[in-house]
Amino acid sequence: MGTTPHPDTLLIAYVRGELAEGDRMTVAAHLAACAECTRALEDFQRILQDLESSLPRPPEVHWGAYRAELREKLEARRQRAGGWQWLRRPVPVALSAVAAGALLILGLQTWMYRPAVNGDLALLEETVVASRFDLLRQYAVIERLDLWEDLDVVRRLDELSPRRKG
Amino acid sequence: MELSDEALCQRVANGDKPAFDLLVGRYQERAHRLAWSILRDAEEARDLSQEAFIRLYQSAGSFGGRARFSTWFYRILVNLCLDHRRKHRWWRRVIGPARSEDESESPLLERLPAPAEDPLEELGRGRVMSQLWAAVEGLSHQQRAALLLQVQEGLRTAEIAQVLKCSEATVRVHLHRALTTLRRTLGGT
Ligand SMILES: [Zn+2]
Repeated sequence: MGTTPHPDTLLIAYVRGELAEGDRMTVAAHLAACAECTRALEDFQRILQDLESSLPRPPEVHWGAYRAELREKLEARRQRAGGWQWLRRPVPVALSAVAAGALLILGLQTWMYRPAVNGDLALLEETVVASRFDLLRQYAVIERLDLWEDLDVVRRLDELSPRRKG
Repeated sequence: MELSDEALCQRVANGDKPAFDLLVGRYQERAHRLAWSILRDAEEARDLSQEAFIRLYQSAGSFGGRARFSTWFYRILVNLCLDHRRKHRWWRRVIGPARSEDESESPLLERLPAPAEDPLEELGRGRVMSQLWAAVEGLSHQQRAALLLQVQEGLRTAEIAQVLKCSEATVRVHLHRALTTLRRTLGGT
């Protein structure tokens, strides 16, 4: 032994029968001469068997409820994606904001000058403007999707604070 | 007669909802178990495994069919979990006490399979297993993910490499380091 380096990182692949013939023979030859690697191999094998036979059980899940929740999430995601599809067009967001601002002014004018005559139209414009502003606001936050997780953390602050106090 | 995972995924790409439901049914337990093994938090495991299915639904079209569906899906799931852990590491430190409360709700020993024959011998074995899994907890995220993919999901080194987006040589190093640590924990040399 000692003449060849210990094939440390090949040992696990060796016991799992994943090595190509050349590597497999090299490791086998090394093992025949190296007690240290043979001991390590036996220990690794035992540990892997122990782990496989004692996999911790995850908490119980009601799969019907799990799938229902998943469907809801998927639906919510789809609606959201559909809702701000127009914002994804290659129009700069700033330009959209200006357009939305102009719409708001127009909407206000309509509302101020012809409240009784064109009530429905004004209401419609108002709704459109309001929803677009809301979308813009959402978009600014959602723009970086990874922020969702941070938002999630912020949301959980409420859940955590009482526990920390108490 | 039964459609393969890969064929179902193709259908999902074409907007076939029943195909998606079938895939979810096939993978829900494995996905949840793997997420829970990595995260060790019931709520996060539920959330992130569901997120993986949502990503699957949204990006089924990008499944090229070169890898097995399971490998592709595990890649989505494991990366979600590892990213989540990476992002929340600082946060975990801050809320450390609250979290450990959560985790102590269900000590690891209780989650190990029920003891069999000789109660005394089993008690000893239970303690060793508990020690072993506690040591698994202490491994780096990458090492732990590689190990879990091997012992729990039965993936081969090449598949683990695809899931973890690294080379097979790197996976071997992860596994070797993980097992060396565990061996040392159990009093080996
Ligand atoms: Zn050796």
